[in-house]
Amino acid sequence: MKPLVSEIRRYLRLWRLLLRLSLSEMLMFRINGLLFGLAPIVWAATVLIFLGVIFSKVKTLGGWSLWETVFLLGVSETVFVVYWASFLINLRNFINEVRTGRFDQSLLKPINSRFLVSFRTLDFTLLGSFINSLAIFVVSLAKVSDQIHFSRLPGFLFLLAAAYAICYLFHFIFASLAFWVVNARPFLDWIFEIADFGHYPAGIYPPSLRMFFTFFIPILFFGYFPTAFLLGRLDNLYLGIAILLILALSIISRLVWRAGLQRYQSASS
Amino acid sequence: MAAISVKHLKKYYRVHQKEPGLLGSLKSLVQRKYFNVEAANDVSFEIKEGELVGFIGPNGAGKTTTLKCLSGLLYPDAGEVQVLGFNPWDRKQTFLKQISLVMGQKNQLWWDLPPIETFNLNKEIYEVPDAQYKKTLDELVQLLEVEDVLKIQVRKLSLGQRMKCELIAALLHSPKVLFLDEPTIGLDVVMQKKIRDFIKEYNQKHQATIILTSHYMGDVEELCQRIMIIDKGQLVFDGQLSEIIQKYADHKLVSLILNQAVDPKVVAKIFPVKEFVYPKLVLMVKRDQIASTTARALEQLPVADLSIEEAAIEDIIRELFTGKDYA
Ligand SMILES: Nc1ncnc2c1ncn2[C@@H]1O[C@H](COP(=O)(O)OP(=O)(O)O)[C@@H](O)[C@H]1O
Ligand SMILES: [Mg+2]
Repeated sequence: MKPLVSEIRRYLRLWRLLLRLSLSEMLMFRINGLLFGLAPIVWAATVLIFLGVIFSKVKTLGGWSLWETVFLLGVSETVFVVYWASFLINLRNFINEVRTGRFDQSLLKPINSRFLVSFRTLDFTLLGSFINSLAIFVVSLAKVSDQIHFSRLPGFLFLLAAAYAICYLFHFIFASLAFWVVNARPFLDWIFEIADFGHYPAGIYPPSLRMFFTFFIPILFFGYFPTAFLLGRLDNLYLGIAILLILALSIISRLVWRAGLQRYQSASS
Repeated sequence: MAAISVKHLKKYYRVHQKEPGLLGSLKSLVQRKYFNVEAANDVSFEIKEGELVGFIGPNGAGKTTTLKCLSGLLYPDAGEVQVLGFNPWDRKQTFLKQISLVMGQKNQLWWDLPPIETFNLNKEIYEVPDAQYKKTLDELVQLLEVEDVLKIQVRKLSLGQRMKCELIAALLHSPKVLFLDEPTIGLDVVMQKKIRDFIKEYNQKHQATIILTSHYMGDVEELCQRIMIIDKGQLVFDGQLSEIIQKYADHKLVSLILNQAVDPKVVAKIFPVKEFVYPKLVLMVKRDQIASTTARALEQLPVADLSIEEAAIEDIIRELFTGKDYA
């Protein structure tokens, strides 16, 4: 057994190299992707106008004020875009690779194949969306900053990290369905779309739905819980729930992955 | 100890039957009919260290499937596989660092980048030390004569150049066991020859154990002393190439041009027919019977022209598959 530290360093080095390669690959032929499209700005404007209309009728949404809600949107979107650019794109590629048999190449490498599958590339074309959501985040942060206690920052960061872990593990399980069905892409995409429900104050949902979005399709972790925690609206209990959820999902995704590999049929050439 | 040992390997693919048309698709949604393709059906063999073995057979015989089981991609349905003392399916890193599988129809090179980038990535993945990497790369690049293409986007390379770079990517970590699956497929004759020479040299220089599949007889004829022939998932021959040649060397091909059509069925009953497309009839005849058979043919058939040739190994092997025996 190699010492853990040198193993981690090896994987970090590999990741850096993979990112360098995918960046130069992109620069070779998709340079226009980097020119910030209008789409993210149009999207942001639409949502903000939508929120403006709602808040012209009501004072609070699920107990949250306008700027709290916008802040929630900023956090969720930023997390979401980064997630998309890093993990989701890789999981989608993975599904394709299983179908075409290209996954063979990842399996042949003397390196954790889940790592290779999950970290192969970064979608740099989402840079525009990222800047856009970051702007919403920063502007709204200024408006809610007096509600934020510094003591809550570590918990917030922890919940953000947990958000990635939970979402990644959860999606990974669905992506692994690729070993069973010819095209698992729709499953992954549906599950991903549902995440939108986590962009609004959870108070607007009935308790049963909140439970559902906490434990079964845990999308509330993906923006709502970290933000609520930072704003002092969430119990410490949820830190524990996050840990338990991560453990449970790791075990399940591991089992599914193993079973899937045994079923892997490659593809006839 | 054998470098590779396979005992009663079985690998089935589960596929479902789909009836044509929309109705068929709907039906198969509700009620799927599965059946098994027996791609490898009780395959056993052993290969010693440093051997270069030709693994041949018609399309769909199970060559690729066997290699995929040997390299740990597929989980065998039954049997025992050992490569370098490892069970491939465990895919231990120490195992994977000692093997390589090159598939002529699938590439590992990053399509939009120059090959050198993939090489560098593999260096990291396989943890090849700097000095060794440089030495190996230089050697391979020189042997395969690809100095000029290392920095050109892979998508812009010719098929042959790409195959050479695939080989380099697969050999940078100096694998002890090499599985080459149709490495010359689609290449022109000159390039085939170059790749062949390279494989030969690599095998001799590094004592690498190599299994080479191909359906070009030329590859195998030139490179391998031992061949294994697989058909419908089963090994039908495992031995020296010379055995086959010897067994059939005393056969010759008698080609007849007929000037009048005859019933192929009748001809097949009384002559050892290899192929018959009117007006050309080819017989595979044992050497000591050539005189009598030829005489018989001249007597019983409307022969316009006649010639006698050596049988090509390719033909011999094709005959093996059809199960005919001309002894
Ligand atoms: N991934 C797969 N799924 C289903 N059937 C397959 C798959 N790969 C190969 N087969 C089938 O298994 C048989 C053996 O294929 P293969 O091992 O590729 O043969 P070869 O390499 O000798 O041409 C063929 O009938 C082929 O159609
Ligand atoms: Mg094949």
